[in-house]
Amino acid sequence: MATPFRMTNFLQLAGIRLGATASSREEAVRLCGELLHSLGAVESGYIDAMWEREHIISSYMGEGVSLPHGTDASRKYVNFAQLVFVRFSEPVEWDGEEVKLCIGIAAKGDEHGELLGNLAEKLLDPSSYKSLMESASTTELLELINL
Amino acid sequence: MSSISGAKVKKLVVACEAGMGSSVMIAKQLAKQLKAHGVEVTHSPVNQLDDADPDVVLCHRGLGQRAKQAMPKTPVVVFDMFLGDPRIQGVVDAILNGDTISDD
Repeated sequence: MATPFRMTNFLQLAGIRLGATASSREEAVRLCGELLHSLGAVESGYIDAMWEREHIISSYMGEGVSLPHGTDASRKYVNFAQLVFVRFSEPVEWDGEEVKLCIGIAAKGDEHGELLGNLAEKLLDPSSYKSLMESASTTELLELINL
Repeated sequence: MSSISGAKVKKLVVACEAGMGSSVMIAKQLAKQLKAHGVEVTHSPVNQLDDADPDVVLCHRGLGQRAKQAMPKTPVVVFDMFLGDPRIQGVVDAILNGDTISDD
C-alpha cells in the first residue's frame, strides 16, 4: 500500500504539539528539545546545545516563527534528522519579538535542507502561512510540512 | 568596503553558526531562484567561509563582524530578518540585473 506521506518523514504526528505553553524563550526551546529527545532523534545533550545556540544568535525567523536547533558541535548528539512542530496558545517573548510557532530541528548534515527551503516558501505564502499558524488538524499540518 | 558586479557572482554563500536551521532555509530558497542563472548557493559555518570560496556572503547581522573578519575582501551583506528581508531580495535582484553588490 502506498504510504500517505512522502519519503523521509522528517516530521511525524508525534512531533506536533498544538496549544503548547511556555513562560519563556528558554522553556520554549527546551520543550522543542525534549520533544526531539522523546522521539529518539537526539541525545539529551542536544537540548542544552539548543539553548546555547540561542545565545550565539537568536533563531527567530520573522513572522512569529523561530527555528531552534543545536550548535555545529552538537551534531554528535543527533541520531537522525527530525523536525518538531510546536505551536503555542500564547505568544512567547523572544528577544523582543513574539513567537507563536517553533520548528525545532535536529540534523546531522544537509538531508533536511530541501524541506526547509520549501518551508520558507510556505511561510511566505499567505494561505499556507495561515494553515501553519491556525490549523487544528495535525494530519493537515503534517502533510503541509512533509510535502 | 568590498563590492562586485552582480553579473560576476557565481557563488553565493549564506554564512551561519551551525548550518542546521535558518541559513539552510535561505540557501535552499535562493538556490532555487538563482539556479537558472548559473549561480551556486550554499551555506557554510562562518569559520569555514574561506574554504567555501564565495563571491558574495550573506549573513544575519549577528554574524556580520565575524564573517567580515573571515572574508575581508569579499562583499558581506547582512540582513536582519530571515523571512522576507529586503536586503536578501536586493542581492538576488542585483545578481539578476547585474547591479553592484557591496558591503554596508
